[in-house]
Amino acid sequence: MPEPRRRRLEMRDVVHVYEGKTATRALDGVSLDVHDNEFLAIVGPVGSGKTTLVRIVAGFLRPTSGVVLCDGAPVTGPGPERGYVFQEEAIFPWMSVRDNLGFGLLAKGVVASEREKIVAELVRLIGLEGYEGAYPKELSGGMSKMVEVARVLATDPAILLLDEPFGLLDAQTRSKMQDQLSLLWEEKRKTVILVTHDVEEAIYLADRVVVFTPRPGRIKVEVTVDLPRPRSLETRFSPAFLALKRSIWKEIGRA
Amino acid sequence: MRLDDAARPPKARRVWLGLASVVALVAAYTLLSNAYRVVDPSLLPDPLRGLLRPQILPPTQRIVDAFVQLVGAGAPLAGGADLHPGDHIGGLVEQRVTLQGSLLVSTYRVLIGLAVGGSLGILAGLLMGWSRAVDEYVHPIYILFRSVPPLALITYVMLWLGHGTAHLLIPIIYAVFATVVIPTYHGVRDVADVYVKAARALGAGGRLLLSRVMLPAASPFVLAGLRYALVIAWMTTVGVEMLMGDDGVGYLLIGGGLWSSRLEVAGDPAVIVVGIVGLALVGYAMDVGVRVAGDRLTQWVKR
Repeated sequence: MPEPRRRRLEMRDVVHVYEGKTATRALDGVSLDVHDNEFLAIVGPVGSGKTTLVRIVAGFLRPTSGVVLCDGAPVTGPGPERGYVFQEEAIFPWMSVRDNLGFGLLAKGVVASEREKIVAELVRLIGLEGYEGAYPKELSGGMSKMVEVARVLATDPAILLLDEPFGLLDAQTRSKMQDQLSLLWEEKRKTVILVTHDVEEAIYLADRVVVFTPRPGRIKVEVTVDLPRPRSLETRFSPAFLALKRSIWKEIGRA
Repeated sequence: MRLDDAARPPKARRVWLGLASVVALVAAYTLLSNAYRVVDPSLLPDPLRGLLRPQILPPTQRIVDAFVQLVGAGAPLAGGADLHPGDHIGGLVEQRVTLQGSLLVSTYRVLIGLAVGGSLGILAGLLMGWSRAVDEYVHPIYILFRSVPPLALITYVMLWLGHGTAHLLIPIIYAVFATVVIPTYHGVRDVADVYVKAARALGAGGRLLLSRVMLPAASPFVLAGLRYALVIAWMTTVGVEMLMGDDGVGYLLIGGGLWSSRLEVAGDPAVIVVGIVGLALVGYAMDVGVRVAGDRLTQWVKR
Protein backbone atom coordinates (compact mmCIF):
# COMPACT_ATOMS: atom_id res chain seq x y z
CA MET A 1 0.00 0.00 0.00
CA PRO A 2 1.26 3.47 -0.84
CA GLU A 3 2.66 5.22 2.18
CA PRO A 4 1.62 8.88 2.60
CA ARG A 5 3.19 10.58 -0.37
CA ARG A 6 3.74 14.11 -1.57
CA ARG A 7 0.73 15.71 -3.20
CA ARG A 8 1.54 16.63 -6.77
CA LEU A 9 -1.83 18.00 -7.71
CA GLU A 10 -4.73 19.38 -5.71
CA MET A 11 -8.17 20.13 -7.11
CA ARG A 12 -10.57 21.95 -4.80
CA ASP A 13 -14.29 22.28 -5.58
CA VAL A 14 -13.71 22.61 -9.30
CA VAL A 15 -16.85 23.74 -11.12
CA HIS A 16 -17.04 24.33 -14.83
CA VAL A 17 -19.96 25.74 -16.77
CA TYR A 18 -19.79 25.98 -20.56
CA GLU A 19 -21.48 29.23 -21.55
CA GLY A 20 -23.58 29.18 -24.66
CA LYS A 21 -27.19 29.36 -25.77
CA THR A 22 -27.87 26.89 -23.00
CA ALA A 23 -25.28 26.90 -20.25
CA THR A 24 -24.00 23.40 -19.57
CA ARG A 25 -22.73 22.48 -16.14
CA ALA A 26 -19.96 20.02 -16.94
CA LEU A 27 -18.28 19.77 -13.54
CA ASP A 28 -20.10 20.14 -10.28
CA GLY A 29 -17.59 20.56 -7.48
CA VAL A 30 -14.81 18.05 -7.95
CA SER A 31 -12.11 17.73 -5.29
CA LEU A 32 -9.29 15.33 -5.95
CA ASP A 33 -5.65 14.91 -4.95
CA VAL A 34 -3.09 13.17 -7.07
CA HIS A 35 0.11 11.98 -5.43
CA ASP A 36 3.60 11.94 -6.73
CA ASN A 37 4.21 9.01 -9.12
CA GLU A 38 0.62 7.91 -8.90
CA PHE A 39 -1.20 6.57 -11.95
CA LEU A 40 -4.77 7.79 -11.66
CA ALA A 41 -7.52 6.86 -14.08
CA ILE A 42 -10.80 8.71 -14.46
CA VAL A 43 -13.67 6.76 -16.00
CA GLY A 44 -17.19 7.87 -16.69
CA PRO A 45 -19.77 8.08 -19.45
CA VAL A 46 -19.53 10.56 -22.32
CA GLY A 47 -20.41 14.02 -21.03
CA SER A 48 -19.35 13.37 -17.46
CA GLY A 49 -16.83 16.19 -17.58
CA LYS A 50 -13.71 14.04 -17.29
CA THR A 51 -12.08 15.64 -20.33
CA THR A 52 -13.09 19.06 -19.03
CA LEU A 53 -11.29 18.32 -15.78
CA VAL A 54 -7.96 17.35 -17.40
CA ARG A 55 -8.23 20.34 -19.74
CA ILE A 56 -8.49 22.54 -16.68
CA VAL A 57 -5.48 20.80 -15.14
CA ALA A 58 -3.61 21.30 -18.42
CA GLY A 59 -4.48 25.00 -18.34
CA PHE A 60 -6.46 25.04 -21.61
CA LEU A 61 -9.63 25.94 -19.70
CA ARG A 62 -10.25 28.13 -16.67
CA PRO A 63 -12.58 26.66 -14.06
CA THR A 64 -15.74 28.67 -13.41
CA SER A 65 -14.91 28.33 -9.74
CA GLY A 66 -12.53 26.35 -7.59
CA VAL A 67 -8.76 25.99 -7.81
CA VAL A 68 -6.19 23.62 -9.19
CA LEU A 69 -2.75 23.62 -7.59
CA CYS A 70 0.24 21.94 -9.18
CA ASP A 71 3.08 21.54 -6.68
CA GLY A 72 1.35 24.16 -4.60
CA ALA A 73 1.14 26.79 -7.32
CA PRO A 74 -2.16 27.67 -9.01
CA VAL A 75 -2.49 26.62 -12.66
CA THR A 76 -2.98 29.64 -14.92
CA GLY A 77 -2.19 28.28 -18.38
CA PRO A 78 -0.55 25.43 -20.30
CA GLY A 79 3.01 24.57 -19.39
CA PRO A 80 5.60 21.91 -20.16
CA GLU A 81 5.52 20.60 -16.58
CA ARG A 82 2.07 19.23 -17.41
CA GLY A 83 2.36 17.14 -20.57
CA TYR A 84 -0.89 16.55 -22.45
CA VAL A 85 -1.74 13.82 -24.93
CA PHE A 86 -4.85 14.52 -26.99
CA GLN A 87 -7.52 12.15 -28.13
CA GLU A 88 -7.21 13.43 -31.71
CA GLU A 89 -3.96 13.26 -33.65
CA ALA A 90 -1.77 16.11 -32.51
CA ILE A 91 1.68 15.21 -33.74
CA PHE A 92 2.81 17.74 -36.30
CA PRO A 93 2.42 16.18 -39.76
CA TRP A 94 5.03 18.58 -41.22
CA MET A 95 7.79 17.34 -38.89
CA SER A 96 9.68 14.07 -38.96
CA VAL A 97 9.39 11.75 -35.97
CA ARG A 98 12.73 13.11 -34.78
CA ASP A 99 11.64 16.75 -34.96
CA ASN A 100 8.32 15.99 -33.31
CA LEU A 101 10.07 14.28 -30.41
CA GLY A 102 12.56 17.13 -30.08
CA PHE A 103 10.06 19.98 -30.30
CA GLY A 104 9.44 20.39 -26.58
CA LEU A 105 13.18 20.32 -25.95
CA LEU A 106 13.69 22.94 -28.65
CA ALA A 107 11.08 25.14 -26.97
CA LYS A 108 12.90 24.65 -23.70
CA GLY A 109 16.17 25.76 -25.29
CA VAL A 110 18.00 22.44 -24.94
CA VAL A 111 21.13 22.34 -27.13
CA ALA A 112 21.11 20.19 -30.26
CA SER A 113 23.55 17.53 -29.05
CA GLU A 114 21.59 16.97 -25.83
CA ARG A 115 18.34 16.96 -27.81
CA GLU A 116 19.64 14.24 -30.08
CA LYS A 117 20.57 12.07 -27.12
CA ILE A 118 17.15 12.34 -25.49
CA VAL A 119 15.33 11.79 -28.78
CA ALA A 120 17.41 8.69 -29.56
CA GLU A 121 16.56 7.29 -26.12
CA LEU A 122 12.84 7.94 -26.65
CA VAL A 123 12.91 6.34 -30.10
CA ARG A 124 14.41 3.24 -28.53
CA LEU A 125 11.86 3.28 -25.73
CA ILE A 126 8.91 3.23 -28.11
CA GLY A 127 10.61 0.84 -30.51
CA LEU A 128 10.65 3.13 -33.55
CA GLU A 129 14.31 2.73 -34.50
CA GLY A 130 14.66 3.38 -38.23
CA TYR A 131 11.65 5.67 -38.36
CA GLU A 132 13.40 8.79 -37.05
CA GLY A 133 13.22 10.57 -40.40
CA ALA A 134 9.70 9.43 -41.30
CA TYR A 135 6.76 11.79 -41.55
CA PRO A 136 3.66 10.97 -39.47
CA LYS A 137 1.74 10.04 -42.62
CA GLU A 138 4.06 7.04 -42.94
CA LEU A 139 3.21 5.77 -39.45
CA SER A 140 0.28 3.66 -38.30
CA GLY A 141 -2.24 5.11 -35.86
CA GLY A 142 -0.69 3.25 -32.95
CA MET A 143 2.84 4.32 -33.84
CA SER A 144 1.95 7.98 -34.11
CA LYS A 145 0.09 7.83 -30.79
CA MET A 146 3.21 6.45 -29.15
CA VAL A 147 5.28 9.25 -30.74
CA GLU A 148 2.84 11.68 -29.19
CA VAL A 149 3.21 10.16 -25.74
CA ALA A 150 7.00 10.12 -26.11
CA ARG A 151 7.04 13.73 -27.36
CA VAL A 152 5.35 14.79 -24.15
CA LEU A 153 7.74 12.69 -22.05
CA ALA A 154 10.79 14.27 -23.72
CA THR A 155 10.68 17.38 -21.56
CA ASP A 156 10.32 15.25 -18.43
CA PRO A 157 7.04 16.74 -17.21
CA ALA A 158 5.97 16.38 -13.60
CA ILE A 159 2.51 15.24 -14.67
CA LEU A 160 1.30 13.38 -17.72
CA LEU A 161 -2.31 14.03 -18.76
CA LEU A 162 -3.75 11.46 -21.16
CA ASP A 163 -7.15 12.31 -22.61
CA GLU A 164 -8.54 9.09 -24.07
CA PRO A 165 -5.25 8.66 -25.90
CA PHE A 166 -6.16 5.31 -27.45
CA GLY A 167 -9.83 6.07 -28.03
CA LEU A 168 -9.47 6.15 -31.81
CA LEU A 169 -7.51 2.91 -32.13
CA ASP A 170 -8.84 -0.57 -32.78
CA ALA A 171 -9.07 -3.01 -29.85
CA GLN A 172 -5.93 -4.99 -30.71
CA THR A 173 -3.73 -1.97 -31.22
CA ARG A 174 -5.18 -0.42 -28.10
CA SER A 175 -4.20 -3.36 -25.90
CA LYS A 176 -0.70 -3.28 -27.40
CA MET A 177 -0.47 0.43 -26.65
CA GLN A 178 -1.62 -0.21 -23.09
CA ASP A 179 1.20 -2.69 -22.62
CA GLN A 180 3.70 -0.21 -24.03
CA LEU A 181 2.37 2.58 -21.85
CA SER A 182 2.53 0.30 -18.82
CA LEU A 183 6.19 -0.52 -19.53
CA LEU A 184 6.93 3.12 -20.16
CA TRP A 185 5.39 4.03 -16.84
CA GLU A 186 7.34 1.33 -14.98
CA GLU A 187 10.49 2.86 -16.41
CA LYS A 188 9.67 6.54 -15.92
CA ARG A 189 7.38 6.51 -12.86
CA LYS A 190 5.47 9.69 -13.60
CA THR A 191 2.37 11.16 -12.10
CA VAL A 192 -0.32 10.29 -14.65
CA ILE A 193 -3.97 11.15 -15.05
CA LEU A 194 -5.63 8.97 -17.67
CA VAL A 195 -9.11 9.80 -18.89
CA THR A 196 -10.90 6.89 -20.49
CA HIS A 197 -14.30 5.31 -20.93
CA ASP A 198 -12.69 1.90 -21.04
CA VAL A 199 -12.96 0.40 -17.54
CA GLU A 200 -10.58 -2.45 -18.32
CA GLU A 201 -7.94 -0.01 -19.58
CA ALA A 202 -8.32 2.03 -16.40
CA ILE A 203 -7.84 -0.97 -14.08
CA TYR A 204 -5.02 -2.43 -16.13
CA LEU A 205 -2.97 0.75 -16.01
CA ALA A 206 -3.89 2.64 -12.86
CA ASP A 207 -3.14 2.62 -9.15
CA ARG A 208 -6.47 4.25 -8.45
CA VAL A 209 -9.65 4.58 -10.49
CA VAL A 210 -12.07 7.47 -10.01
CA VAL A 211 -15.59 6.98 -11.38
CA PHE A 212 -17.52 10.07 -12.50
CA THR A 213 -21.28 10.52 -12.55
CA PRO A 214 -23.10 11.52 -15.74
CA ARG A 215 -23.47 15.29 -16.31
CA PRO A 216 -22.90 17.31 -14.25
CA GLY A 217 -19.70 15.45 -13.41
CA ARG A 218 -19.03 14.57 -9.81
CA ILE A 219 -16.91 11.87 -8.20
CA LYS A 220 -19.08 8.86 -7.60
CA VAL A 221 -16.55 6.48 -6.15
CA GLU A 222 -12.82 5.89 -5.87
CA VAL A 223 -11.36 2.42 -6.22
CA THR A 224 -7.80 1.52 -5.29
CA VAL A 225 -6.21 -0.98 -7.65
CA ASP A 226 -3.62 -2.99 -5.77
CA LEU A 227 -2.79 -5.46 -8.48
CA PRO A 228 0.90 -6.39 -8.59
CA ARG A 229 3.17 -4.85 -11.19
CA PRO A 230 4.42 -5.43 -13.81
CA ARG A 231 1.02 -6.33 -15.18
CA SER A 232 0.54 -8.63 -18.14
CA LEU A 233 -2.07 -10.49 -20.09
CA GLU A 234 -2.47 -12.79 -17.07
CA THR A 235 -3.41 -9.78 -14.96
CA ARG A 236 -6.39 -9.14 -17.20
CA PHE A 237 -7.83 -12.56 -16.35
CA SER A 238 -6.91 -12.73 -12.67
CA PRO A 239 -9.80 -13.01 -10.20
CA ALA A 240 -8.73 -9.76 -8.47
CA PHE A 241 -8.89 -7.90 -11.82
CA LEU A 242 -12.30 -9.30 -12.66
CA ALA A 243 -13.62 -8.49 -9.19
CA LEU A 244 -12.51 -4.88 -9.59
CA LYS A 245 -14.09 -4.74 -13.00
CA ARG A 246 -17.35 -6.08 -11.66
CA SER A 247 -17.49 -3.62 -8.78
CA ILE A 248 -16.72 -0.62 -11.01
CA TRP A 249 -19.35 -1.65 -13.54
CA LYS A 250 -21.82 -1.95 -10.67
CA GLU A 251 -21.03 1.59 -9.60
CA ILE A 252 -21.47 2.90 -13.12
CA GLY A 253 -24.75 1.05 -13.51
CA ARG A 254 -26.21 2.36 -10.28
CA ALA A 255 -28.11 5.55 -11.01
CA MET B 1 -4.58 9.29 -53.53
CA ARG B 2 -7.42 10.26 -55.77
CA LEU B 3 -10.44 8.30 -56.75
CA ASP B 4 -9.51 8.32 -60.42
CA ASP B 5 -5.93 7.11 -59.85
CA ALA B 6 -6.69 3.70 -61.24
CA ALA B 7 -8.15 5.22 -64.39
CA ARG B 8 -5.01 7.21 -65.11
CA PRO B 9 -3.16 6.24 -68.30
CA PRO B 10 0.54 5.37 -67.94
CA LYS B 11 3.02 8.23 -68.21
CA ALA B 12 4.32 7.49 -71.70
CA ARG B 13 0.81 7.52 -73.08
CA ARG B 14 0.01 10.76 -71.24
CA VAL B 15 2.99 12.50 -72.84
CA TRP B 16 2.07 11.13 -76.25
CA LEU B 17 -1.54 12.27 -75.87
CA GLY B 18 -0.41 15.71 -74.76
CA LEU B 19 1.88 16.08 -77.75
CA ALA B 20 -0.80 14.82 -80.11
CA SER B 21 -3.22 17.45 -78.92
CA VAL B 22 -0.66 20.24 -79.51
CA VAL B 23 0.11 18.91 -83.00
CA ALA B 24 -3.60 18.69 -83.79
CA LEU B 25 -4.09 22.28 -82.62
CA VAL B 26 -1.25 23.56 -84.81
CA ALA B 27 -2.50 21.59 -87.82
CA ALA B 28 -6.05 22.86 -87.40
CA TYR B 29 -4.79 26.40 -87.05
CA THR B 30 -2.64 26.09 -90.17
CA LEU B 31 -5.60 24.85 -92.20
CA LEU B 32 -7.91 27.54 -90.86
CA SER B 33 -5.45 30.39 -91.25
CA ASN B 34 -4.73 29.44 -94.87
CA ALA B 35 -8.38 29.06 -95.78
CA TYR B 36 -8.48 32.59 -97.22
CA ARG B 37 -6.28 31.43 -100.09
CA VAL B 38 -8.95 28.95 -101.17
CA VAL B 39 -12.18 30.73 -100.30
CA ASP B 40 -12.85 34.42 -100.55
CA PRO B 41 -13.64 35.35 -96.93
CA SER B 42 -16.07 38.09 -98.01
CA LEU B 43 -18.38 35.38 -99.32
CA LEU B 44 -18.62 33.73 -95.93
CA PRO B 45 -21.27 34.43 -93.27
CA ASP B 46 -20.53 37.11 -90.77
CA PRO B 47 -18.46 35.82 -87.84
CA LEU B 48 -16.29 33.77 -90.20
CA ARG B 49 -15.88 36.60 -92.67
CA GLY B 50 -14.30 38.72 -89.96
CA LEU B 51 -12.17 35.94 -88.53
CA LEU B 52 -10.73 34.18 -91.54
CA ARG B 53 -8.69 37.14 -92.72
CA PRO B 54 -4.87 36.99 -92.49
CA GLN B 55 -5.03 40.29 -90.57
CA ILE B 56 -6.76 38.43 -87.76
CA LEU B 57 -5.56 34.84 -88.19
CA PRO B 58 -2.03 35.18 -89.53
CA PRO B 59 -1.03 32.04 -91.45
CA THR B 60 1.33 29.72 -89.58
CA GLN B 61 4.23 30.46 -91.91
CA ARG B 62 3.86 34.20 -91.16
CA ILE B 63 4.04 33.42 -87.47
CA VAL B 64 7.17 31.34 -87.97
CA ASP B 65 8.67 34.24 -89.97
CA ALA B 66 7.86 36.69 -87.24
CA PHE B 67 9.28 34.32 -84.67
CA VAL B 68 12.56 34.03 -86.58
CA GLN B 69 12.69 37.81 -86.94
CA LEU B 70 11.99 38.43 -83.30
CA VAL B 71 14.46 35.85 -82.05
CA GLY B 72 17.22 36.70 -84.51
CA ALA B 73 16.56 40.47 -84.44
CA GLY B 74 16.58 41.23 -88.11
CA ALA B 75 17.59 38.00 -89.82
CA PRO B 76 16.59 38.21 -93.50
CA LEU B 77 13.02 37.15 -94.18
CA ALA B 78 12.52 33.78 -95.78
CA GLY B 79 10.36 35.20 -98.54
CA GLY B 80 12.81 38.05 -99.19
CA ALA B 81 10.22 40.65 -98.12
CA ASP B 82 11.40 44.01 -96.80
CA LEU B 83 11.10 45.33 -93.29
CA HIS B 84 9.77 48.81 -92.71
CA PRO B 85 10.63 50.73 -89.56
CA GLY B 86 7.02 51.88 -89.49
CA ASP B 87 5.79 48.28 -89.27
CA HIS B 88 5.14 46.64 -85.96
CA ILE B 89 7.86 44.10 -86.57
CA GLY B 90 10.19 46.48 -88.41
CA GLY B 91 10.06 48.93 -85.54
CA LEU B 92 10.87 46.24 -83.02
CA VAL B 93 13.76 44.89 -85.10
CA GLU B 94 15.14 48.39 -85.52
CA GLN B 95 15.08 48.85 -81.75
CA ARG B 96 16.80 45.48 -81.38
CA VAL B 97 13.85 44.14 -79.40
CA THR B 98 13.95 40.34 -79.31
CA LEU B 99 11.37 37.87 -78.09
CA GLN B 100 13.74 36.21 -75.64
CA GLY B 101 14.97 39.57 -74.35
CA SER B 102 11.40 40.78 -73.81
CA LEU B 103 10.40 37.58 -72.04
CA LEU B 104 13.49 37.82 -69.86
CA VAL B 105 12.72 41.39 -68.78
CA SER B 106 9.10 40.52 -68.02
CA THR B 107 10.07 37.32 -66.17
CA TYR B 108 12.48 39.36 -64.09
CA ARG B 109 9.68 41.78 -63.19
CA VAL B 110 7.36 38.90 -62.28
CA LEU B 111 10.06 37.32 -60.11
CA ILE B 112 10.75 40.58 -58.26
CA GLY B 113 7.02 40.98 -57.76
CA LEU B 114 6.75 37.45 -56.36
CA ALA B 115 9.80 37.80 -54.13
CA VAL B 116 9.02 41.21 -52.64
CA GLY B 117 5.21 41.16 -52.78
CA GLY B 118 5.11 37.50 -51.79
CA SER B 119 7.21 37.92 -48.65
CA LEU B 120 5.36 41.08 -47.60
CA GLY B 121 2.01 39.41 -48.25
CA ILE B 122 2.91 36.26 -46.30
CA LEU B 123 4.13 38.39 -43.41
CA ALA B 124 0.95 40.49 -43.40
CA GLY B 125 -1.25 37.40 -43.65
CA LEU B 126 0.64 35.73 -40.81
CA LEU B 127 0.27 38.74 -38.53
CA MET B 128 -3.40 39.20 -39.37
CA GLY B 129 -4.17 35.54 -38.85
CA TRP B 130 -2.11 35.42 -35.68
CA SER B 131 -3.28 38.49 -33.81
CA ARG B 132 -6.89 39.44 -33.47
CA ALA B 133 -5.89 43.03 -32.70
CA VAL B 134 -3.83 43.37 -35.89
CA ASP B 135 -6.63 41.71 -37.84
CA GLU B 136 -9.31 44.07 -36.59
CA TYR B 137 -7.12 47.09 -37.13
CA VAL B 138 -5.70 46.25 -40.55
CA HIS B 139 -8.38 44.18 -42.25
CA PRO B 140 -10.71 47.02 -43.36
CA ILE B 141 -7.81 49.02 -44.79
CA TYR B 142 -6.54 45.95 -46.57
CA ILE B 143 -9.95 45.26 -48.15
CA LEU B 144 -10.22 48.88 -49.28
CA PHE B 145 -6.80 48.77 -50.91
CA ARG B 146 -7.27 45.35 -52.41
CA SER B 147 -10.34 46.63 -54.21
CA VAL B 148 -8.12 48.93 -56.29
CA PRO B 149 -7.04 47.13 -59.47
CA PRO B 150 -3.22 47.19 -59.60
CA LEU B 151 -3.18 48.83 -63.03
CA ALA B 152 -5.16 51.74 -61.64
CA LEU B 153 -2.11 52.54 -59.56
CA ILE B 154 0.33 52.91 -62.42
CA THR B 155 -0.54 56.41 -63.61
CA TYR B 156 -0.58 57.65 -60.05
CA VAL B 157 2.79 56.05 -59.35
CA MET B 158 4.21 57.73 -62.45
CA LEU B 159 2.80 61.11 -61.40
CA TRP B 160 4.24 60.67 -57.99
CA LEU B 161 7.65 59.11 -58.67
CA GLY B 162 8.24 60.12 -62.26
CA HIS B 163 8.56 57.95 -65.32
CA GLY B 164 11.11 55.28 -64.41
CA THR B 165 11.31 51.64 -65.38
CA ALA B 166 11.78 50.59 -61.75
CA HIS B 167 8.46 52.18 -60.90
CA LEU B 168 6.69 49.63 -63.07
CA LEU B 169 7.48 47.15 -60.33
CA ILE B 170 5.24 48.87 -57.79
CA PRO B 171 1.87 47.72 -59.19
CA ILE B 172 3.27 44.22 -59.70
CA ILE B 173 4.53 43.95 -56.14
CA TYR B 174 1.25 45.34 -54.91
CA ALA B 175 -0.77 42.85 -56.95
CA VAL B 176 1.18 39.87 -55.63
CA PHE B 177 1.00 41.21 -52.09
CA ALA B 178 -2.79 41.61 -52.23
CA THR B 179 -3.21 38.11 -53.68
CA VAL B 180 -1.09 36.29 -51.11
CA VAL B 181 -2.46 37.91 -47.95
CA ILE B 182 -5.85 36.18 -47.85
CA PRO B 183 -4.81 32.54 -48.34
CA THR B 184 -2.04 32.98 -45.76
CA TYR B 185 -4.47 34.64 -43.38
CA HIS B 186 -6.98 31.80 -43.61
CA GLY B 187 -4.25 29.19 -43.48
CA VAL B 188 -2.95 30.60 -40.21
CA ARG B 189 -6.29 31.44 -38.64
CA ASP B 190 -7.77 28.04 -39.37
CA VAL B 191 -4.77 25.95 -38.30
CA ALA B 192 -6.25 23.07 -36.37
CA ASP B 193 -6.58 24.21 -32.80
CA VAL B 194 -5.10 20.96 -31.56
CA TYR B 195 -1.65 21.77 -33.05
CA VAL B 196 -1.53 25.15 -31.38
CA LYS B 197 -2.66 23.69 -28.07
CA ALA B 198 -0.14 20.87 -28.33
CA ALA B 199 2.68 23.30 -29.11
CA ARG B 200 1.74 25.54 -26.20
CA ALA B 201 1.54 22.60 -23.82
CA LEU B 202 5.06 21.66 -24.96
CA GLY B 203 6.21 25.09 -23.91
CA ALA B 204 6.37 26.82 -27.31
CA GLY B 205 5.27 30.40 -27.74
CA GLY B 206 5.96 33.48 -29.85
CA ARG B 207 8.46 33.06 -32.66
CA LEU B 208 8.85 29.29 -32.36
CA LEU B 209 5.09 28.79 -32.49
CA LEU B 210 4.81 31.10 -35.50
CA SER B 211 7.73 29.72 -37.50
CA ARG B 212 7.59 26.02 -36.68
CA VAL B 213 3.86 25.46 -36.22
CA MET B 214 1.66 28.17 -37.74
CA LEU B 215 3.66 28.78 -40.92
CA PRO B 216 4.24 25.13 -41.86
CA ALA B 217 0.63 24.27 -41.05
CA ALA B 218 -0.48 27.13 -43.32
CA SER B 219 2.05 26.38 -46.06
CA PRO B 220 -0.29 24.42 -48.38
CA PHE B 221 -2.59 27.44 -48.41
CA VAL B 222 0.31 29.86 -48.90
CA LEU B 223 1.57 27.83 -51.86
CA ALA B 224 -1.86 27.78 -53.48
CA GLY B 225 -1.90 31.55 -53.03
CA LEU B 226 1.53 31.90 -54.64
CA ARG B 227 0.48 29.83 -57.62
CA TYR B 228 -2.45 32.12 -58.16
CA ALA B 229 -0.25 35.16 -57.54
CA LEU B 230 1.98 34.04 -60.39
CA VAL B 231 -0.91 34.47 -62.82
CA ILE B 232 -1.82 37.85 -61.34
CA ALA B 233 1.81 38.96 -61.53
CA TRP B 234 1.97 38.16 -65.26
CA MET B 235 -1.30 39.97 -65.94
CA THR B 236 -0.09 43.04 -64.14
CA THR B 237 3.37 42.96 -65.69
CA VAL B 238 2.11 42.82 -69.26
CA GLY B 239 -0.43 45.52 -68.42
CA VAL B 240 2.05 48.00 -66.98
CA GLU B 241 4.46 47.34 -69.83
CA MET B 242 1.74 48.12 -72.36
CA LEU B 243 0.82 51.30 -70.53
CA MET B 244 4.15 52.72 -69.43
CA GLY B 245 6.94 50.34 -70.40
CA ASP B 246 9.72 50.71 -72.90
CA ASP B 247 10.62 47.04 -72.83
CA GLY B 248 9.17 43.66 -71.92
CA VAL B 249 6.52 41.50 -73.58
CA GLY B 250 3.80 44.10 -73.10
CA TYR B 251 5.91 46.53 -75.09
CA LEU B 252 6.57 43.92 -77.78
CA LEU B 253 2.85 43.19 -78.13
CA ILE B 254 1.87 46.77 -78.88
CA GLY B 255 4.97 47.54 -80.94
CA GLY B 256 6.48 50.26 -78.87
CA GLY B 257 5.41 53.55 -77.49
CA LEU B 258 2.64 54.20 -75.06
CA TRP B 259 -0.79 52.69 -75.46
CA SER B 260 -2.02 56.14 -76.46
CA SER B 261 0.41 56.37 -79.38
CA ARG B 262 -0.38 52.87 -80.49
CA LEU B 263 -2.41 54.09 -83.42
CA GLU B 264 0.81 55.13 -85.14
CA VAL B 265 1.78 51.48 -85.44
CA ALA B 266 -0.68 49.01 -86.90
CA GLY B 267 -0.48 45.89 -84.76
CA ASP B 268 0.95 42.89 -86.59
CA PRO B 269 -1.12 39.80 -85.74
CA ALA B 270 1.89 37.50 -86.23
CA VAL B 271 3.92 39.42 -83.62
CA ILE B 272 0.99 39.35 -81.23
CA VAL B 273 0.56 35.59 -81.64
CA VAL B 274 4.30 35.03 -81.13
CA GLY B 275 4.19 37.16 -77.97
CA ILE B 276 1.13 35.35 -76.65
CA VAL B 277 2.61 31.92 -77.28
CA GLY B 278 5.83 33.03 -75.60
CA LEU B 279 3.86 34.22 -72.56
CA ALA B 280 1.95 30.96 -72.41
CA LEU B 281 5.11 28.84 -72.50
CA VAL B 282 6.98 30.87 -69.87
CA GLY B 283 3.87 30.99 -67.67
CA TYR B 284 3.54 27.23 -67.94
CA ALA B 285 7.18 26.66 -67.07
CA MET B 286 6.98 28.94 -64.04
CA ASP B 287 3.83 27.24 -62.81
CA VAL B 288 5.60 23.89 -63.03
CA GLY B 289 8.45 25.43 -61.03
CA VAL B 290 6.15 26.67 -58.28
CA ARG B 291 4.28 23.37 -58.20
CA VAL B 292 7.38 21.20 -58.00
CA ALA B 293 8.96 23.41 -55.33
CA GLY B 294 5.65 23.44 -53.46
CA ASP B 295 5.24 19.67 -53.58
CA ARG B 296 8.74 19.28 -52.17
CA LEU B 297 7.97 21.70 -49.36
CA THR B 298 4.72 19.96 -48.46
CA GLN B 299 5.65 16.34 -49.02
CA TRP B 300 4.34 15.69 -45.52
CA VAL B 301 0.75 16.27 -46.65
CA LYS B 302 -1.32 13.11 -47.07
CA ARG B 303 -2.20 12.94 -50.75
